[in-house]
Amino acid sequence: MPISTPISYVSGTESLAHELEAARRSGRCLGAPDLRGLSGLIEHVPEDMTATAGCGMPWNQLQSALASKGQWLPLDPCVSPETTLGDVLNQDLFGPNRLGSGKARDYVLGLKVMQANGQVISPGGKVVKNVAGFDLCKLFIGAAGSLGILLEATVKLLPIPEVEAYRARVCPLGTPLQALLSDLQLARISPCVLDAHSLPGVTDHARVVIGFSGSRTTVDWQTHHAEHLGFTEPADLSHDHEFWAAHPRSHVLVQSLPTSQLASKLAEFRSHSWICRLGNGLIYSPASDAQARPPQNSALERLTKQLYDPDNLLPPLPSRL
Amino acid sequence: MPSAHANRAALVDDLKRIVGTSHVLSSESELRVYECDAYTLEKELPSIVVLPDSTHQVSQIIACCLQHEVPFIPRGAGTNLSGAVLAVPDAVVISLARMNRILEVDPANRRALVEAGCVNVWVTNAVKRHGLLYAPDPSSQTACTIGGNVATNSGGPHTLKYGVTTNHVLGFEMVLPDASVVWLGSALSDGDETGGLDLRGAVIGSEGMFGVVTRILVNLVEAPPSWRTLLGVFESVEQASQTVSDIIAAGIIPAALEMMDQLITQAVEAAYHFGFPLDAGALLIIELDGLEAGLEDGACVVEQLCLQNGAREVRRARTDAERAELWKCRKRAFGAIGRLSPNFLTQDGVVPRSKLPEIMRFIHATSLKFGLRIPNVFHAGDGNIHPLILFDESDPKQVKNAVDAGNEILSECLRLGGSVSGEHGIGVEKASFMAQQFCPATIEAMLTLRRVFDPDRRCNPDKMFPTSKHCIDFAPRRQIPA
Repeated sequence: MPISTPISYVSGTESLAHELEAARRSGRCLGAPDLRGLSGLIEHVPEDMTATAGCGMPWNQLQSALASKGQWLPLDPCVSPETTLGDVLNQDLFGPNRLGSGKARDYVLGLKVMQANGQVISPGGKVVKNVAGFDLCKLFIGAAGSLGILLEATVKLLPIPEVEAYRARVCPLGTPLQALLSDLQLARISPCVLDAHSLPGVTDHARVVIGFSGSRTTVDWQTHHAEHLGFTEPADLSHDHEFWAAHPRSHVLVQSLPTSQLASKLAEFRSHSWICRLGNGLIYSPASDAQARPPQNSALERLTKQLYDPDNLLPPLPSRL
Repeated sequence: MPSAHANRAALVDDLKRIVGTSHVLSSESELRVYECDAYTLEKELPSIVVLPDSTHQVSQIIACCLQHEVPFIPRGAGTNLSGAVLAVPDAVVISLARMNRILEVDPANRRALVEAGCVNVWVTNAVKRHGLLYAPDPSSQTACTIGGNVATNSGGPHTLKYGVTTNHVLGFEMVLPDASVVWLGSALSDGDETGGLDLRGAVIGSEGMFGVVTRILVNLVEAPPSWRTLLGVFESVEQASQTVSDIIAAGIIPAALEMMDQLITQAVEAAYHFGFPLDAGALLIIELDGLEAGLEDGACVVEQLCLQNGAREVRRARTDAERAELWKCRKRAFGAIGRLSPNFLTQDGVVPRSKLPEIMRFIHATSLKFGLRIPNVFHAGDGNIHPLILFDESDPKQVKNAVDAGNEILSECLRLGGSVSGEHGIGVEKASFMAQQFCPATIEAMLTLRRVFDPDRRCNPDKMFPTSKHCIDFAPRRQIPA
């Protein structure tokens, strides 16, 4: 009997397995699964900096519970109170701190997943290094639930930083922005946030927000150097919150390009509202109907879907950019 | 009906037409080099070894193998420690050794495009003039290849802060078992995000069982401007293990946190003469890196924690050269084992960090139980242990004891909530443990993933999952005479 293994049904999910079976028999897709029964923090081991939680757990509740022990899962997507851990992992959500801390796939150690056939699998594990078997966790994260229903996740954590500080400045787009980015690289500082966003009614300038986190000594030193580069305005991450409050994710166009191309791309941008992760090459802007297109997936992705969900009970594949 | 000999001869001829005569190895003396990787307990002579120098040639080779109905095995430098590239009957080993070029360096976007046979440390050497480095640094980095690192999702001492291979590979080109060529993840002209399924991430760590990776786009990080490298000298492994826990509990994430016990320290000192104290119970190498501002504060906290846990002294590397020498000694620790024993078996289990003292006590008890010395050098910050079980291959009883001892240690890792492999992979060595670590449904889900890429199991077969060839009651097929 395997040591860390599931039984066929995780407690509270028997009905989910029955719903899958009912959907298969009637030839329809399963609707959004009800994971409210999987909404608890199952285990938090601060000395190992790991935690296991049900995927129905509200994201903000999870972070609050972890914060009580001075730790956090270092992802900062802009979310509503209803957003769950499962939502964040299924959609691979992240926020401005992506630059400093990475993405969900960098922090998930193990999962419990209900497959389309009702069986529960446990890829990964509970330790921070683990190469046993194929890395199915990478496959399920960001798959929008198309390959299985995420039930539980074990994640690695980081200490909550002692201090965070944000500064901002306005910068002309094009060559001046490129020069600023080059200066930031040469300054050898390590921001955890480097965003740009549009200004109302202005098309040739943007506001650049830079953020640092860590020990007070480190943050103060870097903030001082950023101020020498013109980042003198105290700031926060409200630009990110305001953008996502105004534009639901389903109506946002995401463009990903090498960071060296951002400055010139933004200079020719005509969208009235956008945010940009300068450190990660991502531009978010409202999508128009003209930009809508059918999902694009490779033959390998379609085959993966076919093998894991032969009866098409689960949501469709997430589209490639 | 053509004989097997005639079939093999025809295959050799076809391969020679693809890569040239001098790049097809088929005599026994040539093939002997490829009879195993760094897991030397099992050996199998490959049928043929072929050395392509382009993706196109790899595709042609695989098509040829398909036509002749033989399996194939991609191989980097053969440094794998679990038998992941052990040959199987009739297999063609595809060595990527000639495909070792750095194709492009893009410092502005912090990326480099390399061929799969490129040696790991060459990447850092090529980009350090830009103030960059390639972070995953396995101890074998002066020999192992980026393609091999992709196969096993390699880590290294600096994994604790910087992550493993999957965190630093943006995308790669792969030749599938049907000889078609695909690119997974980001290409050189793409941004970091591609959307869709992360097949890139699913292939990394698949131990060469999904296809042959030929070119890889890696992410580079800024070389840390400053460091503090400390060496804590302790009377016991328990004291050092407690110090590891206390450092993490203090909210400090070192770049590296490595432990060596007395036995390995004595071997390393005899080999490299660094100046390690021979009577210390355990040494802890702690490295902090990053901006100079704040680094000294962190180092002082670490020093204090070491002393609070009974460290008899805490040394600091004073120069770049001294730091490099310390890391050389650590990374060459396995090589020093030859002073202690003709053979050793390396294990690669992982336990939760908080269980380190417990697993170290268990290893000590196992050593006594089986009458074998087991020095330890490992990534304490990750809970990734490397007990080195010393034995003499010419004594079958020692061989069996070594395997049994290793198996008991891995079982204990699982009992403590860990894993049987932190970075070396499953290969053939630990295939029998897959059913202990994962339930049948999870294993079936893994096999489903394999069917996406290699439904006929032609690529590196008989690895990772239990077959009739591998079971816990290991009996070596071949031993080197004393």
